[in-house]
Amino acid sequence: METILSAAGISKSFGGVHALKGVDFELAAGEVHALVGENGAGKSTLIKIFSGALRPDSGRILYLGKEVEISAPRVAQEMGIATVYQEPLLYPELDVVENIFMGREITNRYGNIDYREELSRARTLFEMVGVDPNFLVEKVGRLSLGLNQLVLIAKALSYKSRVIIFDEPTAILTEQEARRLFEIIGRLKEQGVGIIYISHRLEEVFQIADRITVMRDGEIKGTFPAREVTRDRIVELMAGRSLRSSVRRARPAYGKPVLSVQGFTRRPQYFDVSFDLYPGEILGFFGLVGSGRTEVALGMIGIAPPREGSLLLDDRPVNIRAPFEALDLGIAYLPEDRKTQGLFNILSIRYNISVSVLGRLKRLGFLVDRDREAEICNRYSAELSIKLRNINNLVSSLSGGNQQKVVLARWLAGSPRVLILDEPTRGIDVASKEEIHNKIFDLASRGVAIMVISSELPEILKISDRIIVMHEGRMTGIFDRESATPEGVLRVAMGEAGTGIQNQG
Amino acid sequence: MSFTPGVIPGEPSSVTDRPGRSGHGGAFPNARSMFVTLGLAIVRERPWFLFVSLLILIFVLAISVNGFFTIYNMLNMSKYSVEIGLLALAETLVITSGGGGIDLSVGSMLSLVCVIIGHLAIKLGINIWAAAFAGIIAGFLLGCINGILISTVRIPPFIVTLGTMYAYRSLALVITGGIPISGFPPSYYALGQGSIMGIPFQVLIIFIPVIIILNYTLTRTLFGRYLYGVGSNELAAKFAAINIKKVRVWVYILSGLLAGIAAVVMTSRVATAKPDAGFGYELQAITIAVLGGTSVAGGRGTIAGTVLAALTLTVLYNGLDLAGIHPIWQVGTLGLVLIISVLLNNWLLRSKE
Repeated sequence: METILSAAGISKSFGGVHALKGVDFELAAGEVHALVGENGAGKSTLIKIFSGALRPDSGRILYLGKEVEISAPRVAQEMGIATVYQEPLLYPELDVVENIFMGREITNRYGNIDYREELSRARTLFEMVGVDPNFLVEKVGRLSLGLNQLVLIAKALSYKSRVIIFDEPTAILTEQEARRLFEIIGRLKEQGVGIIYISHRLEEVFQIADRITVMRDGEIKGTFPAREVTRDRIVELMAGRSLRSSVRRARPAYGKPVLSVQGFTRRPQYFDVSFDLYPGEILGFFGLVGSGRTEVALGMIGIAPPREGSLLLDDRPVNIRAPFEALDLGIAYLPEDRKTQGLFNILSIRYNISVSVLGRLKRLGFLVDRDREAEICNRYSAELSIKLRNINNLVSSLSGGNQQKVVLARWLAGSPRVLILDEPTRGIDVASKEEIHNKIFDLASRGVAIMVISSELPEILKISDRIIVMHEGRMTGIFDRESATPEGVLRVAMGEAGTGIQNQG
Repeated sequence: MSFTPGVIPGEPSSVTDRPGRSGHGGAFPNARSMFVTLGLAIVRERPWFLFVSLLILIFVLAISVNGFFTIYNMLNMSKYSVEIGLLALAETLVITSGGGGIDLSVGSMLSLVCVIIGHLAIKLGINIWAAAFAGIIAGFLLGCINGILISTVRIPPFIVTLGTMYAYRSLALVITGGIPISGFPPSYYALGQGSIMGIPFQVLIIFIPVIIILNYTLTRTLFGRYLYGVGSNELAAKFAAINIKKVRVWVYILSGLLAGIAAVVMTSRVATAKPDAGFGYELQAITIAVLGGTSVAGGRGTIAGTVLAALTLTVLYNGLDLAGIHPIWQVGTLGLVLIISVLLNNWLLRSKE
């Protein structure tokens, strides 16, 4: 087989975090090459480099035997490297034909768009992928997401693409749509197109891939012909050996739960989720992207309340409709995305730490007690060792790790009884990560009930007393500290019937 | 706000460029660093930029226009900035609250409250001060309607206030049948026409206190803190346990309240309640707020900036008036000043970097 695209020694880091470390990768014409790994393993970074959305720090990319520089998505597209994202970015108000030829319309000799010609070429493309050409004149906004993906594939073919990258294409498709996609992928293969296929679903990977490459921690852990490798071997490589915590924590006393989630359901995000959270416990919440773990937390704090189910606090049902109500009850949530959900970027460090507790520091009912505010800011920045010069400086002047600590400080300042941390260490440096972990242990030892949501398996295994695993909106397993193995947890997270639900007292 | 004394308008940058003089010994580096600090402040902080611009403008008008630089004129013209200034302060709060915040109905609320005061006091013969108070309450309620439609019913601010702009305007015309109401008792004029030591009453007992209270509100109260939070990042504000709806409702209530106060000032100044009194004021108020450094994207805006912008406009209009230029030119100059001022500020920022 002839190699059409290859990467040699690609490295990329984001502010001290190494996303890719000297990655080598090869794609042959007419093959489906699957890329698997946990969240944060580096798959997305790698394909962003192939598609021109990111530039590598070092390393070379060879395309059709020549070294190339893919400086922008447009460059990739014109070279013939197309990417089909999970949720295609199309123009909903335009029809399929117009979307396919957007930006390089076919014109007649008067400079007008030659729709007739576009239509006939689009028809040929649709016939190539085997889709009913009647859809061509429909507005894209009226089509299902599955058909949207097909529009993108047709668009990719219109560039005579030699490489098509699929990023989790089936995550949003119905079973029938997924089957059709696999047929189309089969047809593309026959035409000599090379396909990079990213998916969390190992069944489909084994169904369509010729080769499988496993990534972990920004490195390639192995490339295998799909016929010669077992599922178990792949899962083992994805999970790796996890670093057990050196901190030997006492097992929390499982007395009365402080918080109890019962039958939480919000279709189609999650179904019948029930669990208890105990004082002093660190409960890990693990699941792959789209498993519904964050959505459950958003339901608990009232951002998107569940349609069914109830929340008990100290055995009493509570109805929380907004985060300020949650905080009044002592439930704090550190949001997943620091930049858009956590930080007030144009405001000061002081503001960012104190904003949620101002209500408790007021004088005369409406004035901010600036002295006590400064005291709190200083106390928590010292406790979390936030490196800052002056609390009145803009929060945007801090590094990512320190910004994350500022947002964490905000929630600690509220002295919650229940603390929900969503991706508490995403995208920050190793030292800050360690400090945040230690702070979490410290809080738990003081009786705070903590729920940690993370897509990093090693983090979950390191800090949790119990681990709840979710897959496609359902709880598929509960592990305690002793029974949790990386393979076991990952297997359940990928939808395999595993240990099942085994709750302890 | 405290101003550094002894500043010569238009000169700070040239002073900093000069090499040190030995005769002044240790005092000079201090003066020098003072000018550097001021220079940086002018570039970075919109209120300082406006303050220096205002001084330059006064200086230019003082030497070029006869009768401008007299104490009487300077004090007297300040009263013309009160009504539009109050509306501009309302816009500052609303725009800073973000989420596409804008209040197009301030002019109509002003008209409607004027008419309500006139109707109560003259047609129904209620005590004038009671009528004025009722007018302010009416402003509060009109703002409340905007606020509830925007934050509880969740209709975009632009649509809601465009709608109420027309609705309140019509209502003012319906109440009066389109005819201005006059015949206010002379005791009422004192507010809008009297003065103490040359300082107009409405500046002294209304404008200045409102400015101080609002400035204090934005910088020292919980409401002020929440306002900037909601305006700069609504999603983060929601996660940070801020009650966004409550903040937004209050912002529009304050806007109505300020329009109501402006209506009291206006009826007492012109001694007539005109149903079209506030016609076209909404866009001027928005312009002044933006000129004062309020960011249309939300989260940024200061009381000092808006007040200085309102004063700059008043000074400019007065100067043009005294120079014998027809008032038709006023709105045109407003537009021009807006564009030039933003260009100049951007240019200064760029040359700094």
